[in-house]
Amino acid sequence: MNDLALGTGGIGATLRRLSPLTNYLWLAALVILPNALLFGTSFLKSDGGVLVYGGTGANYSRTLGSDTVQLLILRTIGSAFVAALFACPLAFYVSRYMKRWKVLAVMLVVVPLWISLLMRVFAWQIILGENGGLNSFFVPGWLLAEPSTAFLYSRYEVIVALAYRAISYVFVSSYTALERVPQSLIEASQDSGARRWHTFCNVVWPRSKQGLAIGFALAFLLAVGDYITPSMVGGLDGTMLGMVIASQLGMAGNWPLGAAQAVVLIIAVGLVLGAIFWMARSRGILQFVDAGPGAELRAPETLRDHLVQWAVRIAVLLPYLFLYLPLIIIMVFSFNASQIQTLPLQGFTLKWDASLWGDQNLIDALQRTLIVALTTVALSVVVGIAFAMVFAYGDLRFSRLLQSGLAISVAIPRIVLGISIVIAAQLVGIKPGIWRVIIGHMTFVMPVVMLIIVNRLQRLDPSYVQTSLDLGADYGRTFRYVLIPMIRTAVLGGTLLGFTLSVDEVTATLFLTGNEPTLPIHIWNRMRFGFTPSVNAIFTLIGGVSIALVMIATAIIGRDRSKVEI
Amino acid sequence: MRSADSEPLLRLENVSKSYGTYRALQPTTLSVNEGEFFSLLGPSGCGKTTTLRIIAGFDIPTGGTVHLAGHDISRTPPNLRDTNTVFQSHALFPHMTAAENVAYPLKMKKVPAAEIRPRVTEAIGQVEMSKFAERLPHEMSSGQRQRVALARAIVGRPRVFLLDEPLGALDLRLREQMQHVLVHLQRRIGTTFVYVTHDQGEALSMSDRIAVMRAGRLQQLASLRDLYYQPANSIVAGFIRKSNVISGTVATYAGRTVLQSGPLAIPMADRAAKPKAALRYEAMAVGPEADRSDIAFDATIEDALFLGDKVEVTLDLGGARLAAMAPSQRDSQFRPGDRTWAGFHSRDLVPLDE
Repeated sequence: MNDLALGTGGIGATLRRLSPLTNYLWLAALVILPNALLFGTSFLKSDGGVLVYGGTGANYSRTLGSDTVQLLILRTIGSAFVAALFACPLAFYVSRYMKRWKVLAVMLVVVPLWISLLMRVFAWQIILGENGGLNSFFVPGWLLAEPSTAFLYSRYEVIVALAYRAISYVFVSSYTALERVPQSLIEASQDSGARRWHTFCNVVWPRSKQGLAIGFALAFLLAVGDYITPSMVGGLDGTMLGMVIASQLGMAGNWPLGAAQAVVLIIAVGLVLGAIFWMARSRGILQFVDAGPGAELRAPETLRDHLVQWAVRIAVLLPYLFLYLPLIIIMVFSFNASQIQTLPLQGFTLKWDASLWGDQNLIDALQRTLIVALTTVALSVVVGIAFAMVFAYGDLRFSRLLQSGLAISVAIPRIVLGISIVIAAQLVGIKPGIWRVIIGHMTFVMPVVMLIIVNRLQRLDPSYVQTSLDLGADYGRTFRYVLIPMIRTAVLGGTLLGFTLSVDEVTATLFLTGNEPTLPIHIWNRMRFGFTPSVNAIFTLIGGVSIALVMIATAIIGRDRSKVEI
Repeated sequence: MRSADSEPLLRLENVSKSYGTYRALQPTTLSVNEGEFFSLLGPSGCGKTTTLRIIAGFDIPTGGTVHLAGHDISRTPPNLRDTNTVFQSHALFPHMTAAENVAYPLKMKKVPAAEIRPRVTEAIGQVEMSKFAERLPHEMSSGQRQRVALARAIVGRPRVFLLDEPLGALDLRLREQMQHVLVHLQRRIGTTFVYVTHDQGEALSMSDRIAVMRAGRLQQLASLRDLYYQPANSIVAGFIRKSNVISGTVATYAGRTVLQSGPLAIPMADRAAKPKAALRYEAMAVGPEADRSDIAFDATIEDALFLGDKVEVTLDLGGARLAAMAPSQRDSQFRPGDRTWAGFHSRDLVPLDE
């Protein structure tokens, strides 16, 4: 651990006495209990609406009896592959060859992350959906994304929509990894006589495959627990695992079977993630930093050079087209006067936007969303900072294990998370509604905030704290005047990320809200039971507001960075 | 070493490099002979690394041409050039062992596998790293990594061996060790070395010729001896060794040409008279030894820095200030405020161009 002793007085002692306890409490109440209950439930059976012990693994044999799980896992992996296919070449190009427009190029890929998941999925329904009717128009768009002819039409749609959601994640993680490949390594390879392809295989790939694996794992995780996307664009053949499980809890009402499926899902996810990271393992530790990537593009000379240049341009533009076309369509339709979503447009109107203000249910839902998000984030930040301080400065055993234990909720598919929280909340007596949602959201928001802050604290030179103590500040004031200002950016980043995570959560929230829907759930219900173009208007407004928020936050973080970069 | 008048191995003609409007390297012409230990010396930002990168092929010159053994290689990509580089950061591939790193250039050049093994063993042996061949870079010390980087660069038997401040990251002891390794290596394999450094000590002792650079411009290209005794300008004079730069006006005084600088009037030969001259610290004598100087004067000791074998003494000449490097002796002490006798030989005064 850190050799920075926090001494016997003030905040150090307080932290050491109290916090490991609360860390363990959190782990027990919000990680172990729900999952243990889920595991227990999977051995029950539903007998006339009452749950009784169902003997040995009847639910499991039923789950594993069919090859559905296998098929659906493969399908999910397929979607992650498609995402990687779009994201990786782009990440490579942006990282290695872009200079002036680099930041913009990265931002443009990341921005869709802050746009409501529902909105993005909905856009795909318009484009590819069974009654979308725009298929032919976008043939060039999806032809290029075709992973295999083995997938039938509507399965294939789901895969594209899931891939669409995952692109930004795969891009960010592989881009970050590529940025960390020192230019001198690439030059050393060229200098040794390696051609571009060999440099890529022998140097760039081994150094960046772990980053890609993280992105790929994220894409897989998002897709595997997704219930929204397949039910919106999948049709009958486009079923995914999340839907199978959700139907057991909803329509079929067979919770034990759903729980068993969820447990199988967790294990399958564990195996897949394990396999991904096993394949991406690499040896050696990079021990120096020099300039990041920055290759000089040689001006094209021959015809072949020109052709290559054009191919590259198209490969770079395609992902952006893929990312933004759906969003633009939504915006266009939100101003369309027609009741039906077809081209040609029927003229410009603001009536759908105007209609939102008279909708009391919508306003209630929005209010709930904000209450949930603000409470979740506020609690998560306080708890996250406290926990992070313990991990960074506290003297506790099994620190790494405890940290992973707390973080595991992030890696559990949302649908499983939702179910397990419901079971636990039921047992403890927390009614469906806002508090259930807040607790559910905290299970995955807090670890994210905590990990960001732990990371920041661990990179912080301990001598700052020592200096402050040396200069006569006590622990409290050191925390207040030295640590807080230095982790401010991390806290702000965690807050922002936590906020967007909470506001946009649908899958787990669906199981937690009861009769008090949050905004995404309200929209979700609306989209399922009768469509009005006002949905487009909501999305456009949400999209605009979230992008504005992101811009402001980026500006704040950017300004802060220039002052404190250690 | 071949005679200097034969065709140079490496020739840069009016090579320049600009980044946007910033001129990193002014048009520069220089040539390196076969088997020569050639150094590019200068402070950071002087254009020395840019020059090296242009030779290696990492940067494409904005203007001018690079010739290697008579061929224009200005636009040849680095992987097709017969040059190998030792990087400042050593740039060993972290996921490959020492032996794999050294084998890499051979594999890339499609050398038959049977030939690779003995050549790797030989190259690793030459840098005395045989015991560590199977280690990964992070399992080695920084000195060991630097040796492996050397081995990786020599194993391909390049025509020109490029070194970009390879000792910069090492501590003093390791640097001295590595200097010996380098000199030894160069004698044994006889390859042409182009060595980039900002440190006077390490490059000077090893080089046949040194190009002193500053602000993207080649200041002087000469042997160490010439740089030392005949610096072309105050930049070179200041960079090679600690020197006083005396600037003033050329005047005639009692029928003789003198350089008038504050209270000093230094007699100079008519033809060499310039308003600026350099005087190395160690050319100044302080104390009784000044008696033998042909120019001597009375001065006040302003400051004295004890450096072990030497003492750096700053002298006040009633307005002008000169520094001297005097040998240190157990008994004699230079105390600030003391009056002393100081002087130098006028032949040690080097007129400067600018």
